[in-house]
Amino acid sequence: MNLRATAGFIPLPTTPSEPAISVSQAAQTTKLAAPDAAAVPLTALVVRAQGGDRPAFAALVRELQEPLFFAVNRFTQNPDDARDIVQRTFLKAWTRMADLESPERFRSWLFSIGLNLARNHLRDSGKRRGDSVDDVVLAAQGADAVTQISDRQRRAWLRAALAKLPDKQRECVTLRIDAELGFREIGELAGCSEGSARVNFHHGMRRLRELMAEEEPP
Amino acid sequence: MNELYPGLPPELENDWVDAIAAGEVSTALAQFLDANPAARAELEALDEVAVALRRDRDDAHPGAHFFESLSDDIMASLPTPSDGPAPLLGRKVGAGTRASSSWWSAAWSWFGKRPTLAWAAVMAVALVVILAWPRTVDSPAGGIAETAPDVGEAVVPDDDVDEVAVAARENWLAAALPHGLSRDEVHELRQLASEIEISGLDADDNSDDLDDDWGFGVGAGAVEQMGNAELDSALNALEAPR
Repeated sequence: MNLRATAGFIPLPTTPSEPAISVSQAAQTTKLAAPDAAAVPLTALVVRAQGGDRPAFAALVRELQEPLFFAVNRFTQNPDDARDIVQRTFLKAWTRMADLESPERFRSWLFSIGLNLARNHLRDSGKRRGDSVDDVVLAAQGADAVTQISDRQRRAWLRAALAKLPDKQRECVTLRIDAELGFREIGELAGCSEGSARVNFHHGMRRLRELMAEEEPP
Repeated sequence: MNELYPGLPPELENDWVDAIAAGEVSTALAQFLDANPAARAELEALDEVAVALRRDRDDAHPGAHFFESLSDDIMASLPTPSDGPAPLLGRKVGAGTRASSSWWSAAWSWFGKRPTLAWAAVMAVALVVILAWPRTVDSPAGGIAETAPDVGEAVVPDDDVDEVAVAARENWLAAALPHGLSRDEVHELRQLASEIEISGLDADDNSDDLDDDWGFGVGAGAVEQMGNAELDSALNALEAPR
């Protein structure tokens, strides 16, 4: 069992921990005096970035670009497209920092920008979110024996199953697993309560398991 | 949320979801799972899905260099203060307040994204200004004609009008004298010249009409061609009928 039992119940944070970014990381990007990001919480960095502090914004980029990339990549299924969308997301965030009235919501605000850009990208390009489960299964069966389905094929099949989820369930699963956002932030992004985000996440995971049980060869 | 799993106590619902999302089981939930093997099997199955998703994400990791390059590109693409308004212009200036220049930030952002349209808009505005400029300069009130105040007809004081009228009459009549006009003709010409001058019409434009009516030129230049003595004599002669 992968689940790790704890000695006592320690409530999991509703939001991921604050960023821990080294000074050298920020300085590497900005060539300016970088904030001591390891000691500066995310909200403080956001406030400084709202004041035009580029090193602070660079620290935010280094902290959030990776989870944002993974979340967007789930939509695009194309790393190059995801990279471009992440870059545009931060550029838009920089130019619209003044619109953010609650610095503590920067993370969900940033992800909402990124996911909207990803949706627009999919709409404009006319792409599907991924191959269907049936397509992937057929491809796997064509590869000699079903027992030889590789890990790569299993991953592709899993992605296809994820693509079949209702939008809200898929968003909640992706934002929690890939972006590691807290359920409160996921609720803000999905336009629902934290409790609804939890339920949608659970239903999405259960649906994925059902799809796996139905489609995956023995 | 009691729909998560049959028999799951409400107080353990968050623990249940967090166990799937983060892979950690609280003591209370562990006790429940110990007493419910089916629930444990369900949770393990859901955990396997989460592990598979994380593995898929990690396998798709493009590498550290990818993100170093990405962050560099992001920071390089940000507009500098010299490029345009930075968030400084629209930043919060106090608790619950915000500077009023967010529209400018948005406009500048739009300008950067659609330079062709933006420049077209700028050129259109410049064209309108150029077309409107001459009217503005020539406006009697010295401003834009449409907004200029109504100054009425009394642009010149009445005394000055009289002086202008007298001078015009004398000039026109003096110009007519060498042609030997009768007294009645002189009176008529005097009246006509007076009307022309007082009404503000351009005398030169009406000179052709006078030529047709009278058969001689009565341009103002005739006065200039007269010597001082001739002019004085003519004016003295004109004093008699007045």
